[in-house]
Amino acid sequence: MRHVIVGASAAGMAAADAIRKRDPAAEIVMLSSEPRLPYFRPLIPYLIYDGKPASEITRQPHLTPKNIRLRLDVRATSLDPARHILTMVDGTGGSEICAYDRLLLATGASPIRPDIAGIDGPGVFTLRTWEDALFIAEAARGAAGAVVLGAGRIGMKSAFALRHLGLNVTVVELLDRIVPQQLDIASAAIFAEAVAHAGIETILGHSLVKVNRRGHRVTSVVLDDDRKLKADLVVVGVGVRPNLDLAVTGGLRINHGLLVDERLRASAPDVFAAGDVVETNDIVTGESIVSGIWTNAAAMGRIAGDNMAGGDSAYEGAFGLLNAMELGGLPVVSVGDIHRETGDGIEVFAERRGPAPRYRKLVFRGNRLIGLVMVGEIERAGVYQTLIRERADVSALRRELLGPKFHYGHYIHSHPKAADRYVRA
Amino acid sequence: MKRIFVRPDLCTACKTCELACAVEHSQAKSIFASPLETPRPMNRVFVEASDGRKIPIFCRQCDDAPCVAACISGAMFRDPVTDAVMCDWGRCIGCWTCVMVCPYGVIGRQLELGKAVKCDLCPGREAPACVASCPTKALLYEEVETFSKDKRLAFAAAVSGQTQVSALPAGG
Ligand SMILES: Cc1cc2nc3c(=O)[nH]c(=O)nc-3n(C[C@H](O)[C@H](O)[C@H](O)COP(=O)(O)OP(=O)(O)OC[C@H]3O[C@@H](n4cnc5c(N)ncnc54)[C@H](O)[C@@H]3O)c2cc1C
Repeated sequence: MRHVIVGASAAGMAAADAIRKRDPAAEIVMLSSEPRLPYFRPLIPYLIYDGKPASEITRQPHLTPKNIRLRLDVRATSLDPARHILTMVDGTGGSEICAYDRLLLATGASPIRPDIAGIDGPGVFTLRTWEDALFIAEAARGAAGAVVLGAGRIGMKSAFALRHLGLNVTVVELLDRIVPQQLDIASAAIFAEAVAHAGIETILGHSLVKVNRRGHRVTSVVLDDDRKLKADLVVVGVGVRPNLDLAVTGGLRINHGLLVDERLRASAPDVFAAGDVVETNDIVTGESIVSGIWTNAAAMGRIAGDNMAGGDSAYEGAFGLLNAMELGGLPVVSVGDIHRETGDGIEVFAERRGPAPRYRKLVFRGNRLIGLVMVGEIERAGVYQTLIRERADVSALRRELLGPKFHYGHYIHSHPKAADRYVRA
Repeated sequence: MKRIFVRPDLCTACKTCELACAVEHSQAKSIFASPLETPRPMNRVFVEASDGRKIPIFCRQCDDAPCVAACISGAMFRDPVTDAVMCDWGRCIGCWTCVMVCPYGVIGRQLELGKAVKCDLCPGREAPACVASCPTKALLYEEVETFSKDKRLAFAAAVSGQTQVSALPAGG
């Protein structure tokens, strides 16, 4: 059995691992259009300021399944599902054919480049790959100021990395708060302080309309209110879009992302998909989403790989929001449906304590917990996350959940099934 | 493969296990000197009480461990020798994804270092410090097969308060 996996990142690697677990003898070929050995994509901001050596960003051998044929710097350019064949092109432009018995599309996503005058050209960057990070690092050398478009997670990580290098950094965000997807209004306000404290400026409620250059050098950007900001480089972090080109050549069903069934099969026989390229259901809201989260990508990869190797695993859906991070020395976990207000069957409990910033928000729908934000103190966040994922009836746990120290003991004592799982090794 | 098991009806919530765990994971390994250390020695087992019932909560070293699958930096891994899930502090970036996905809530944060802290089954010891120190033998370190399904079900019943489990003979 020959498995071919396109994309050697979170989803592809998890799939290869799952295939290997089930079938020690299967042939596994992995194709990556990147020239690098597989690495942990969320760590690339460290490359901007040399915060980690390459060896600590690259995936280690003990986390890489055995006996894999890994082809770097090759791009799969077309898919013929009827004949079970891929065409691929290597770095030198040479073209090759690759046949498969089972195929996984784990092609991920790429940054969106918004339509802004002057955005295409030197000095304007996105941050998705190792090489992207090196380009930013190079441009930052000798630069005095940077503008980051988008205060999302990627934008903020870029901003902190550039600030590390001593640049003056201004983040411009169209919405009215930073990290708007992962933080609610109250937690974003807490982080705004941490960001300001780090010396990063933010301009909310505005966008870029133009990038100015002198020759090949960026000199400034213009905002939608005609304000001009000096800048030597611009980083754009306004979101990603699934890499669907290959799926399109194969005539696979797509919408915003590649469409799959609950076994993560695409619309052609023996073709599976996992990760940021996939459109799936939000496990909490039921909405159709394209996730963009490492943890979801790895979970999908594991299920797809298991099924490719003859298993029968069902995917329960992704978390539209499943975020843990530390920004400016402050930890936050946010999970599920957090952008809600009380009413219409929704109950919101929020509490802010100080002086060290602590914030907690729980969102309930009927007897279920559907959303969580914890800032400052995030201990035992996983227990809440489990309640959300399992759609547990938490009516008997209401008092404990709202109390200062909800723990797994509470859960066990109200859910005998959880107790059994706890003791199963 | 050995694992820690718990007999909740024997737990008196004396928290000796918590203390022994923190001391074991310190530099001085001394009940007197360890508490003064930086970074602060942390326990990885937590005796929790609810409605008068007590239970030590600790890492189950899950098969298909969510913390390993979710880790975005390659820090979490399963030790091939001890079978414990470990956090490589050389790789951990303190993003707390593992804290977010651990169903039992037993991954802690070493604040001074910004690293994730979890049960490592005390490599090099015959039995983990928590088990060795438990005065009532509420904690056991057993081969998974020995701690049979029956006992597990009885345990579950005890935890859910349906019946009392009689004390199992020492050694399971
Ligand atoms: C700076 C940064 C920080 C992040 N931080 C977090 C975080 O803290 N937490 C979190 O959950 N997520 C985070 N993410 C998101 C996370 O990295 C992605 O969700 C995850 O990488 C998705 O994995 P994937 O395998 O689906 O796709 P990708 O990681 O996008 O990998 C797809 C791979 O396929 C290759 N490829 C595509 N098309 C082809 C083709 N035709 N032929 C051959 N190869 C191809 C691509 O080059 C790429 O290497 C972050 C992302 C970035 C960029």
